[in-house]
Amino acid sequence: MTISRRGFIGGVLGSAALTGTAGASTVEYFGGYPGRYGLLHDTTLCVGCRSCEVACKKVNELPPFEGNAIDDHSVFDNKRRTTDTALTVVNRYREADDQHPAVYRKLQCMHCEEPCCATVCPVHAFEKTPEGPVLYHAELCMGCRYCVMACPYYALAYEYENPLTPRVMRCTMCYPRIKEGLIPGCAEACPMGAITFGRRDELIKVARERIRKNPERYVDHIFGENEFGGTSWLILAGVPFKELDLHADVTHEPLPAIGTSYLSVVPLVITIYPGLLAAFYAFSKRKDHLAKQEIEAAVAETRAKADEEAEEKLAKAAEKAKKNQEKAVERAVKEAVAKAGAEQEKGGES
Amino acid sequence: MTRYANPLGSLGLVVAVVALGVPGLGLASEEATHIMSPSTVVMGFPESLGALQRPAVEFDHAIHTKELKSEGCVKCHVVEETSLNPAFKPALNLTDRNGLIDAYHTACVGCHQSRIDASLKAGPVVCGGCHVRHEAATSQWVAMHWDYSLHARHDQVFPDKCGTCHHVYNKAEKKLEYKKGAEDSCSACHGDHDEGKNLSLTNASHTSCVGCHLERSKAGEKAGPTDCVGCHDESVLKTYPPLDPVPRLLRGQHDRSWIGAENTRSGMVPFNHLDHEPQADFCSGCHHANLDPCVKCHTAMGAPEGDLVTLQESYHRVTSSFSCVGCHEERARDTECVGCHRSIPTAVSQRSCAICHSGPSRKEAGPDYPPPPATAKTTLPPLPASTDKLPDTVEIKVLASTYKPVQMPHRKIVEKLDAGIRKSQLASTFHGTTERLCAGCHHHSQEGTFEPHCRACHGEMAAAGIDRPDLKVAYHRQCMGCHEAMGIKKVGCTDCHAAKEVGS
Amino acid sequence: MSESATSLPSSASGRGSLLSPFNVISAVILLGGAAILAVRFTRGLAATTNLSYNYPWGLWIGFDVMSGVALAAGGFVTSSAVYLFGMKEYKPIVRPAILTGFLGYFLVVLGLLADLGRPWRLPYPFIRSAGPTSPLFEVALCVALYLTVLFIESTPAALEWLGLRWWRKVVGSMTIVLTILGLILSTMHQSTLGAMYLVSVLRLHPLWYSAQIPVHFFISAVAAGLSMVIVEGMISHRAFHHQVQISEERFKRINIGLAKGAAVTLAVYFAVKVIGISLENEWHLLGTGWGMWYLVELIGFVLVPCILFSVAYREDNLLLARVAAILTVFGVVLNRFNVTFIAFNWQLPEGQRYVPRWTEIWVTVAFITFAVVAFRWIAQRMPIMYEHPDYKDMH
Repeated sequence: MTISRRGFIGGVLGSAALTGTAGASTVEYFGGYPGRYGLLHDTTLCVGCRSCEVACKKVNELPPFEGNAIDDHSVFDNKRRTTDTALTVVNRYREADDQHPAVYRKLQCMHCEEPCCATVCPVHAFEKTPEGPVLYHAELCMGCRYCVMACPYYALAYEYENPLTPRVMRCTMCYPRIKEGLIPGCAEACPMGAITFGRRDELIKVARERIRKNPERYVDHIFGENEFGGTSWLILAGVPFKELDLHADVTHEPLPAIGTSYLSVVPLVITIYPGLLAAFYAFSKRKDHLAKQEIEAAVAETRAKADEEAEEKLAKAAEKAKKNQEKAVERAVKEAVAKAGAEQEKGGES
Repeated sequence: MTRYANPLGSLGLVVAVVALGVPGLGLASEEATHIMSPSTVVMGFPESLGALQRPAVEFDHAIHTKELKSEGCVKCHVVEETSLNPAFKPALNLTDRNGLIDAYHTACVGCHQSRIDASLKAGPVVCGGCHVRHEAATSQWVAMHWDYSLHARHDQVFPDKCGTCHHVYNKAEKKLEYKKGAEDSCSACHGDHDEGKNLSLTNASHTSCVGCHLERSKAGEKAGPTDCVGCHDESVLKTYPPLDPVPRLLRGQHDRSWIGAENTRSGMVPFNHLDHEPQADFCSGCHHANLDPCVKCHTAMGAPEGDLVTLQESYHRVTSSFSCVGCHEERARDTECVGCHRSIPTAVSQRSCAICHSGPSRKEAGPDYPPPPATAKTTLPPLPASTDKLPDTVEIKVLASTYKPVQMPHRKIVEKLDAGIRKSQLASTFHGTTERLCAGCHHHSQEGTFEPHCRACHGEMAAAGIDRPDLKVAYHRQCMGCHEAMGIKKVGCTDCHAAKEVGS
Repeated sequence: MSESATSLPSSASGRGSLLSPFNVISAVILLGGAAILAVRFTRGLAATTNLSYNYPWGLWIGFDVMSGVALAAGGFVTSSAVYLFGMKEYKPIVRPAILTGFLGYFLVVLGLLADLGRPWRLPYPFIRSAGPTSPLFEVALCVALYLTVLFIESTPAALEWLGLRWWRKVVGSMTIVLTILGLILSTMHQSTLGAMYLVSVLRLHPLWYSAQIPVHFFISAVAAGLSMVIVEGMISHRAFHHQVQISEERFKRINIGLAKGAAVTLAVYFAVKVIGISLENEWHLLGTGWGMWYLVELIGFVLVPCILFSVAYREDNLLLARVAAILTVFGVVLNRFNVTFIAFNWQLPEGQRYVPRWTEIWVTVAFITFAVVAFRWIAQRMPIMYEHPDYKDMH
């Protein structure tokens, strides 16, 4: 076999702790690693300067932008998404008018608390670190792209142009920098402080305080606090989240739990089917056996009946023959006696 | 072959039913938000009569007044000498659901049908023609806006004849009469709903105002609007020229008086009513319910007639435009002031209490204390000359890497903000000194002549836990935020710092 | 190549010259497919597919993997019917169905090898790093095991052909166990292929998305399998007519029996889907554009073939059963396409939708051609369409 039973079970239980699958018992609540980091994106502060995009490319050693200059705002005329060379992009969702400035938002991997990508990867190439970022291990990836398909935020991209060593490309939350005590490149670069890096629990408090102090500036909701189990990126907005292409009305249940709930059926199938199907087989075999028996019994009965009839016929014929024989003997005796009598008579007269 | 026909026939039937029936299932007209004109009235039942079975009718009054101009308002309304009953004539005095439905249907559809028969332009006669399913609608209707100018213009038509419009209800004799000195706002008695004969504000104003306008225009005299858009369309309202200057509306108010509550220790507030009058559009800007003194409804502990708002709250609530402090707070968000005040949570601080509460307490004053005297306007001392504490230019080069250092015109900015403060009595009085202005940018630090550098508190890394940004963000948010809030068009990168040439 | 005294169907007939039209066309298709795959491995998926960041799965997953697995379900359905539920009258079609199944799953693996970013890492989930929380891990494991099961179940024909009697006996004795194992594995991976889409709450249109998607996939796979056996029988019965030992009447009865099964399965599938819509209160969605398209799939390719199958069974009409089978096959493929890339990302603007490139279609057709060629080669030589007389006692 390919994977040991212990490894299988261990893997399931271990991942269940991270993903909370219904397969393992989840009476205990795991609220996430304490002290993990997050980022607060205040879209009311974003001015669309794209310094974050430039910094991200620099930090990740990705090829620079082609085409127009970085401050050419015509790039906002179309909604963009992350690509294999642009791990983060800024989109404009509302144009400026007399009373209000334009509304922008930065898109990137949301580093979910319960990452879908990690759950659906068949080679466990994703890892939710205790520090908060979700890491991708390219050395394990076989390129099935289930993660790209599953991400509800359309955050992952794939290197389709790479023939032999393609990778999934996504924001890493600058994990190496965080380990060194620095902050992610985008947070460092943003001149307006629209991105704040810090402990996730503290950032939630900061966000709540900002909303409390400026109720007319913000929609009273922190996106990412609970949606699909929550994300490390927390977003504040001054316009309804729907306008920013964010679904703030989704369930708080972690998406991986929804996606793997069905797998709890697997052990049941493996254990119940053999017995059940063997029973079906046994029933059908028994049915055949009984049918065969019935046929044999019918044949035997018919044969016995035929034998009986034959015997009767034979007995009758034997009796008849005996009778005939007796009659014939009688007749012969009579003839013989008559013949002897006639001879005697003839001999006395001469 | 009958045996073939049945199953294939039923198959065909299934397909046909599905193809024809299903589209009706969910094809709600998915219109985008549609806009209702100001003259659109949405017809619905009062809640007590039950839920609507069909979408409410959006009745365009303007179209009807236009088409039925020759027949006049009497076609649908009861018109008396100086009043027009805004209720629909056939539905008057009906209170049962079916009766109302029948009345409207008979009248509306009947009229439409008879016009169709006479080959005239008419409205719909089928159910769906009037009961149209719409998505959420936004209406362009704006509430009637009353101000000093409008009152003065009416006053000019009826000089000293306040009783033309103002009345009070004599409960004993059960009639309306005019009482001099008791003129009040309409909304003092007329609320949101009809209470027996006490009409709602909407119905009362339509009855009286439109009725009077109608009568005068019939008599050929200059009159106000008789159609919906005349009062309820923003673009039309803008065309009415305001009186300039507007004469002061006198109703026996004092120029200056003391505001103080009984049994309190704080000093009374010398209130200059004369200076405050032009700050609002009309009396109702502060006297939001009626012209009674605040304490009549807003008792010390809060009373139901005051919506349980206490007396203290009625003067000090920061979020209300009716309270003193609230209105001052709103002024601090004007474009001239918002640059600094946007990041100051409230304009009110503990220091400002004494600026208002400058008189003796009510106990100390006694019952015969004279009203507060007129005082001179506050003038701030001039700005001091440039020193290194008040520099002309500040060179910000601590972070210069992608861009060249910023040459910040410090003095110019201070002078511009200072000019705005001097223009406003409110600002001058509450600021009190010229140095107070510094705290607008040099915030969260000791007020006075010692103003720290930004980098004294904002380091290279942000302190996320206390929401304190790093130095670069502090500069950008402070400068750009102020420019944006005050409408100053200097928010591009190179507006403040020139780009470095590549390689430098 | 065992020759025996008892008569074997002549394996020589039916094989034409090397340059027959069939051979030439298949060769062209296969060579073209190989060339495209060479480009795929030298210039990447971008050069040979229309896959995008929003659409990571396209035709190769939608057809080769998703539809391929569903259409190859005939193997487990027929073998379970014959060996577990005692429906011995279907014995003659078990071997072709198993072979179709085996080649179908082989096609799935080929499709994966073409589509995966790094196909040489395909064994990684088993040998290097397992991700057992993933539905795809379970699918991979089950498909790998089931391919093995199908392979073993296909060996009796080869062993008979090679005359390895003892081995044939050993493998024959494992039939029941393999069939049970096959049914277990098939139930799991057919439904888990659907379960893979449980995460796509936002990205898959609500009419196709359901918490019961695994059940939908499983039932439709059974229907697809039965229909595919009818379709495959339609073709191979004619192509290998000289080998077939059963009478036309018996063959027709078998197909009509399959039609009955398919009718019941499709009726259950239809009911499950309708109840699903009712549970989620999605009736109003049927009136939208997407709803119309959903009804095309549900009415035209599920309800209509269900009724046609029922009529075919009642009227003993083989042609009608075959028409219904073709409709069902198209319907299941359409359903897999809808779930994979048509109703997937339904909220994206139209300009960003995925349409397969001709290279993807060519490679898919090449894989199918390969399966057909393999089937033909095997069936011409080995006792697939008939019972080997020397081994009659082992069947």
